[in-house]
Amino acid sequence: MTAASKRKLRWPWLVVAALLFAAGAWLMSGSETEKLKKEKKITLPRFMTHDERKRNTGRQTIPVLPLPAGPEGAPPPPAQIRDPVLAAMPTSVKSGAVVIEANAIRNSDLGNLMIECVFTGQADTLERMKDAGFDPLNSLDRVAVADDALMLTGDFSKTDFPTLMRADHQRQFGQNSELYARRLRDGGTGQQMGVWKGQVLVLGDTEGDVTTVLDRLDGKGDQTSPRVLTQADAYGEMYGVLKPGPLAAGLAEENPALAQLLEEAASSIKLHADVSHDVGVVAEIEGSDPAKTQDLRKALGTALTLAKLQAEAKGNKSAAEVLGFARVAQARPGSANFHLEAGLPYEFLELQLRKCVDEKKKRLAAKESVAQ
Amino acid sequence: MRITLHVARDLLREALARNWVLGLLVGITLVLTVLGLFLRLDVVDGAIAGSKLFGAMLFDDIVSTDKAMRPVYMVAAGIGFFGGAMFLAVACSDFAPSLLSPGRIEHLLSLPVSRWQLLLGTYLGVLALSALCTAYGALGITLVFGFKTGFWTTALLGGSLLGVAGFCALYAAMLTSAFFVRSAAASSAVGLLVRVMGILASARAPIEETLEPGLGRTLFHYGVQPFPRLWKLAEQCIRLAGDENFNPGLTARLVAGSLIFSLGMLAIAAWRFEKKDF
Repeated sequence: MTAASKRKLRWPWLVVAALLFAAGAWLMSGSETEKLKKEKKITLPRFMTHDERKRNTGRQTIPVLPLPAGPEGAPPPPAQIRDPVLAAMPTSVKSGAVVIEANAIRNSDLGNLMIECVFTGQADTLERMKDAGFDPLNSLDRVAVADDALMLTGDFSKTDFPTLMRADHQRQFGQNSELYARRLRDGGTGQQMGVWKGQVLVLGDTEGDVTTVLDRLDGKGDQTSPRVLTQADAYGEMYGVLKPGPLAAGLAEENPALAQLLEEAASSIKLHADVSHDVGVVAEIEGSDPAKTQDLRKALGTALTLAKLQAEAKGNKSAAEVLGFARVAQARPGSANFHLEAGLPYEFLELQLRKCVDEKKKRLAAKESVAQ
Repeated sequence: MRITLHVARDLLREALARNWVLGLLVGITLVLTVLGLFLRLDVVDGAIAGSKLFGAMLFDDIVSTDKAMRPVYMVAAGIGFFGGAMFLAVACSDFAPSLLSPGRIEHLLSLPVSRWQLLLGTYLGVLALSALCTAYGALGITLVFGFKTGFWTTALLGGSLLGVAGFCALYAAMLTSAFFVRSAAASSAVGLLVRVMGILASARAPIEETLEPGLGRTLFHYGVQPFPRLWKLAEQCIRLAGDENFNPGLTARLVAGSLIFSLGMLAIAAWRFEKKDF
């Protein structure tokens, strides 16, 4: 082989190399900017945010009451509760107390879909409320439940309550409240309602349920004793405290052992839910016996995992995905409390709400075609 | 091809006799033994209720086994991709320089072996070694956690293969450099340089945004283009191991890019090798 032919044999390697580098560059160009599939993440309300603290400060609307002076040297009394919803809360509950930030949920990322899901086919009800001067979509701020009393806060200044509630009985209660009642056809009393300063609407089964709340709002009784929900609990779009009894009763049929353990080990369950984008729930299960709450913690964790495995085995992917977000965590070492975290991703909720709206629209269309 | 595989097998045999490689295998075995003997996982009906290493509590959350194992596999894949490749780059840096050492190369060229077969055989031998070490570690971790938790997955093995795809680009550049400068240190430095360029290439777009438009930016734009996107590949390796948000299309492009870069480097090595007189 001559020297010239040897040279000819070598240069193609460089051409091949150049072609390969160019091909590689072409193939990989743009891969560095390729967006990854959006990860499904849940926002969990583990603490109060700055905005929530600001929101709570703005709700201190009850005027400061003069407190009786204590003996000299005594520690200063706890601060007066000035948020109407927290002031309306009892000091203890039988089943639970929950506050729902209706306006925040209405303005959340899924708020419009939620409204569509609830009010599709309910145009008449909505119209009747608006005719009575109450727009639930814009006037409602918070909804709270404490045992048998339901409280709604917002702007009720233009609301005609007798028309809205179809009330046939009205009377003044104290300086700040009016009471309304609806008589039933059989002569019994229907739902009772009270309005405090045009800001808080209280609903109950008996007049006593309503007046007790109105009295608390008027500052009657001990204003400084701790309520079942305090300012420190007021974060998330839903927060509250639940007693294990009703939860255990709901679980009794499906998992009697877990229901019994829940009733024995837990004294109360503090709940916080973030609904601003997706739904993230943090529940702090409080107990008194660390050994028992540890058993409950393990039983709950196992039940959740089993449910996830069952959902996977049955091919129910969305349920398995949702259960995959559940986590049972230790709250503090050595304490009898622990945390349970769970969530619903935005995509899952959006799909379910769209389904809800579509189904309601279909039902409405079917009803209208039958009527025609 | 048979001759190429013979060369690769001889290199593997030589590698296994070296302290560096033996040290790596012993290290992996030691980690697996520690995990196997001293890691205690409380598994209750498919959920991990707590874990202890040397008797000390690692975590106490109750989560389903697959979810609990995800971060473990992701960390293992990340360590394998970056740490393992770095170690192998150092451990294998003198294979090519020693192949080209005076006396040995003349002897090899006197045998009925062509130059490209020697080159390819050496390359494949090192790749086989890296694949063996990675598979040993990945399989070991999968078996240890599989037996302890009852959760079996091939995700880590798949992820570790992506690590090998990343290493093949590194070693191709290291091998090529040996034909220009016969030095193990230079070979390691080239491996490190390709790694850095691979990371820069992965972050090309955000880096470009920080550069003033002009010659520098244009040079950077075209200069990093041929390099494999190693950081992106590492990301996909970790995501595959953790079974989380893995993008197969993007990964296929990244792996193909890495292999094409390796072939390009080997073509330069072949050009240089054919030209060189011994």
